[in-house]
Amino acid sequence: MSKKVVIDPVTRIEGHLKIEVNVDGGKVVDAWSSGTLFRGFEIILQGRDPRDAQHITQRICGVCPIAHSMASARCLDDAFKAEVPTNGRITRNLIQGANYIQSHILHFYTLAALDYVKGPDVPPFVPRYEGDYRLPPEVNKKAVEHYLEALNMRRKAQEMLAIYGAKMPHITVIIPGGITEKVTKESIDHFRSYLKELIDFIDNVYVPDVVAIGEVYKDYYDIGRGYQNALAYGIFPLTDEPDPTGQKMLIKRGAYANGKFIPVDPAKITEDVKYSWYRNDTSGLNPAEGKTEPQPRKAGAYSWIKAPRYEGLPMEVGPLARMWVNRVPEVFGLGEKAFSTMGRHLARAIECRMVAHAMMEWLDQLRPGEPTMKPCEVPREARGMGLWEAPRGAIGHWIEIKDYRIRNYQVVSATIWNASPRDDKGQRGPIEQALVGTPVKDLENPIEVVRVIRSFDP
Amino acid sequence: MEEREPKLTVLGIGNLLLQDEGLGIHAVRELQKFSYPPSVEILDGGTAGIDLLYYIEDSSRLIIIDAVNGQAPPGTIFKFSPDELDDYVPVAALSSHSVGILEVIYLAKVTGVLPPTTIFGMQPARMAWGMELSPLVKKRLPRLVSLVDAEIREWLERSLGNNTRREGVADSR
Repeated sequence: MSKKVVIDPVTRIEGHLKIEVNVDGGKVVDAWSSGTLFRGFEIILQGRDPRDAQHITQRICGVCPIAHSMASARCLDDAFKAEVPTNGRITRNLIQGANYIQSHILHFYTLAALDYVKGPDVPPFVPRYEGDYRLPPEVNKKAVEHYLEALNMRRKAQEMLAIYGAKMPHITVIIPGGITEKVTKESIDHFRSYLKELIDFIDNVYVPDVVAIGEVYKDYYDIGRGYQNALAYGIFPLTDEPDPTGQKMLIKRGAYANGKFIPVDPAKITEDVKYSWYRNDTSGLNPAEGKTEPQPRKAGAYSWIKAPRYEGLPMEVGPLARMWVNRVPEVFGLGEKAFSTMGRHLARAIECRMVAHAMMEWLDQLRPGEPTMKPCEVPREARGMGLWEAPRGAIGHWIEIKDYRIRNYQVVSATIWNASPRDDKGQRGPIEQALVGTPVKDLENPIEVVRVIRSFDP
Repeated sequence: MEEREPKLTVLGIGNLLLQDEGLGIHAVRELQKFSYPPSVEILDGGTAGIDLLYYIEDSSRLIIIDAVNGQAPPGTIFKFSPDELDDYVPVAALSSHSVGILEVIYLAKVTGVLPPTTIFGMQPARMAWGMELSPLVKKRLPRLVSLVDAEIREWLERSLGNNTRREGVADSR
């Protein structure tokens, strides 16, 4: 009496992304990226104690709560004029670094690899879409083993994160002025033992796998080009001194547009809403003065995501943007081919290696027993800005405090940049633009389109 | 798997904000009121994704409770095993945001850490915004909970039979 059960993935919902493409003559000729869910965190935060922001904004993202926690803490650091002691700065970097490692490994192996690596011909790897699998059998076999090993490595990265971060994904230790966890000799050794194992995997498995797959799928260094504009706010501060231009960081702040490297002035960030379901009179504002006034069913709009622009230009954010504006040789040396599906995967792997090795040095700079935070007070009136980088790209938080409460809070996260809809001038968002020109062999199974979208780690 | 400590994890899955989508969570909240011994963990898995894997691999036996679309009348209760799922799609999510329980079961299976598993499901009636279950699913929930409770008790009896030195199970209501 067996009865077949068909299980549809019932909606779970976080910030659902919908991509539509028009294909003509075997190529994508136009694309639309829509955020299908109104979030409204900015409205939730109004009137609250500013210290709540660090906890509440983590819930914006189920996979990168750490980055929102950090952007918010830095925004509050700025508003409270907090001074973060050395141990606080470094442990924050280590927590965020651990999150980068787990996120990058997860993204490549669990989400992206099966686009290129053919699983064995046994369930549950079959049935599968007939894809475009080109790896030589030996390379493929090793990649399958690594796919399984990666899950274990990701777990270790999460456990490593918990040494200072205490709990994922609801992290409570990061506060204005530092973190609440202490540094001991034992915790440093414990962290180091995890990190050594992860570095071994990153150096000897992850980076070589991405390089090997890129060798075989060379055409993907030409697919998904996009605007070739890049923006990075910078991350991992290397000094306790104030660093208003983001140049004293492991990954420095910078931008690249129209073939030129340009400095970043946060005042030049604006958010357009002509094609987003927000009131038109709130278009073009800088996030420090930003407004969140939804207008569902607004004619012509197609997304709950606004369209952030820098100096009026759509900018790609993420590991590729970070490695490019920092001119990291393995990525920068690719020239325009870096701006591609495979270039993004490679940049992610190179960045993972760079961060993991730097973390090893930071462990040696920790001072057991010394404070990890310096207490600070909520000011009566203040403004603050926190620029940071999630694994998937630049995120910014802006706060205005009045009478000890949040008067205004604005968040512009990474996928808001990458998955933005058209702006008021009609320019496509970065993912939309990257999709144009993508060849599509089979309309029923547009794996090429999926590969391009995935490379942004939306 | 044999060498694992006997541990039954009862994992409720779903989104509480979408009415019947969260029926798995409503079910585990009821089960959490019962007094099971520590070898039974009743877990609210919410909308968590891949991190659920690590709870699964620490268990010797797994029960999952979730809203299931079996194309049946609302309120219909399902009981099946992962082997009965077909069209197993290897992680097909566009984004790590959309890794769900199906992908997690799949990953646990390929890595060889999936313990014997039973899935209890119910066909939802309403999945609009709201914290309340639909009246129909609300009425059917005690039946679902009692079926899971019976499964838990059966496991407890068997695992206690394997270890006679353990204390008896306290009355769980």
